[in-house]
Amino acid sequence: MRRHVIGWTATHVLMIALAIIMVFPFVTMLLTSTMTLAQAYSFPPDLIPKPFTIAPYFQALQLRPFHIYLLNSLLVAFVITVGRLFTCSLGAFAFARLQFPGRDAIFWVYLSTLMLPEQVTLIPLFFIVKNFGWIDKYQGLTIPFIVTAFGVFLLRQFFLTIPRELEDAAIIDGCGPFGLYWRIILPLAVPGLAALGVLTFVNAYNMFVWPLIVTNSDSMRTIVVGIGLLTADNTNLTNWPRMMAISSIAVIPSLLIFVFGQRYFVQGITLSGLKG
Amino acid sequence: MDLSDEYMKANPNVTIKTEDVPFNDYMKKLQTMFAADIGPDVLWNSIWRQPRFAQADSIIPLDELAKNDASLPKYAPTALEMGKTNGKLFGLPAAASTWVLHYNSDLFKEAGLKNPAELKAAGDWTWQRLLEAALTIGKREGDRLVTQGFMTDRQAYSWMSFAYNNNGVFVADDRRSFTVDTQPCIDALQFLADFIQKHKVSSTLTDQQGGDYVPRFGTGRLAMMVTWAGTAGDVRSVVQDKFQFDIIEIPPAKAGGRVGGYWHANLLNVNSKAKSREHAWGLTKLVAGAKAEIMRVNTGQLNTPLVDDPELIQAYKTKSPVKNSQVVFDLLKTPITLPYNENWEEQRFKVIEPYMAEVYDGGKSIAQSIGAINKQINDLSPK
Repeated sequence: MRRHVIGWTATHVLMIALAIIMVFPFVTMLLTSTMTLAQAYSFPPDLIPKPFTIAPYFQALQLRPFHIYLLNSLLVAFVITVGRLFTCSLGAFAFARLQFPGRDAIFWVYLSTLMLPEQVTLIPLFFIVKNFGWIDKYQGLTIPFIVTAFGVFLLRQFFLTIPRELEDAAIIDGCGPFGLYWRIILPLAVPGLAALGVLTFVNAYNMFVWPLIVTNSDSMRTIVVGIGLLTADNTNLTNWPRMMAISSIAVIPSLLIFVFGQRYFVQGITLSGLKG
Repeated sequence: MDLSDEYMKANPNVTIKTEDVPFNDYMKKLQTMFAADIGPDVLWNSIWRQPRFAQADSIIPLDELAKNDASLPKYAPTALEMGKTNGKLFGLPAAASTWVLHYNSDLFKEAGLKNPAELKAAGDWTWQRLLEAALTIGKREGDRLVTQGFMTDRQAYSWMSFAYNNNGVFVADDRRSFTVDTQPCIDALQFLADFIQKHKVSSTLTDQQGGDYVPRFGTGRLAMMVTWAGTAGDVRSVVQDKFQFDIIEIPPAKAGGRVGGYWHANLLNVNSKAKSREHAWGLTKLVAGAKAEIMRVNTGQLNTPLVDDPELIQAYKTKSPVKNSQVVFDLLKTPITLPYNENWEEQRFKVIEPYMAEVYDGGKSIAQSIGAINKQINDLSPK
């Protein structure tokens, strides 16, 4: 009994410590967003705002059209998420359920594309997008990311866990492959789709390099690029209170997604580790 | 941007689109755009990257355009040299910065010492006086450095400035032949290292966390540091009226010795594929000119004025939060040779500054290693 109490206490102390470490950056971000510039640059650092001010929020919002940047980020993340769920589920279904020559070999080759770092594909992808006339357009921001080997892999793993017997009745009734996919597999795959959706939304929302490269005008920028523009708005000194103010606003969609979708997020990580 | 509107009004058949990019990612974006042949017609470039753009024929020489052009900004005599690569003018310089010494006047007063401006007026602003001030003002409590006398930082600019003021030649006028293993350069490096290692009145590089000039100086417990003159504006916005500070040139090694200005500018280039070279040139002159510099100064960017324009000079002196803003103009007249060849970035970040860090951390003896380091730097120079 005593050992149980000690173990329980030790576990909870460790978890609380880790939770504090995880939450600390967010708390610091919020507190810094309510400080004056002088206090933000004090050394050693001050944690408690003295005086407390929300002026950085208004100052930052006046500097650039962050409301447009935020809407762009939400739109881009939404389009990529929906697109990816559709294309990756189709691909995953093919690799998990259909039989065709070289299926497994093609799957492994396709999966190997995950090993290519972004820096290698950045310029060729930029050339392709430029040739389509998609520079500084929503198509340039979204279409290159509608398909991903990771999404196909994740959903394939999930589809493999769905018993084949559930499809047998449909096949006997004359259901074709697309019907199987749409009527049988997809409804059963909601948890897997939710996991991929959560991961995709957060990643798409937080993209920086590609939106930076492919957009030129303010009307197309995303919030993460907009925050980058605050690093030196008119001097060499980064105005941390303003930057933290915008970051505090920008982080809200990701936080909400995590809060409501954390179960699926964890599921996504687990699925990607399952054996095929 | 107001100047763009002005140019378009004067040239109705021209449309100007300006784009701003986060500073740290500017080169990534620029290089991607050039790779895809959609680079801007007029671009800001850094002085050490211009050689590569010139080598790749991505930008055009401006000599023919600048020759006999009466509307070219009236640069200080040494300024246009900044924009040259291999003898040809590729960039118009603008938004320059000068490496100077910042000092906390109040700490000097507390210690009962003459401050650097007073020492200079008496002809006595030298390395020895700098050292004495740092030793007097610097204070330790046990292992803790409570007040820093001087902050030895990790940047190559400091070593180069001190070496020049010790009659050293860090790099020859060809910008490729380095002689950091000569005695004046060695003595300069040792002088800087001793603040950390021997006298212990400077924070270590680890403590500096990559060069926190403004926060450290802003505490009011750092007597002297070397950094860009424009940082004075940032310091003032952080410290407000907490203490008085000023700037001065880095001292010569000995009284009456030479004093050089390490200053460099950003450059404005014209894309070799610009749709209209005439208008690209017109816009370049506008952005590099006095009016644009005044706008930048008025928004708080205290760039060293390179254009000899009375209104610009007055705007700078009015906006500058220090008394001795004249120092940046004086240092324009005695520029240190800049090492900006095509491979300077590699030389600086892969050899020189890591070496300086090892010396400052006490991990390397200068005498035993400097020869090999000089060879490494020269091996990286373009042939």
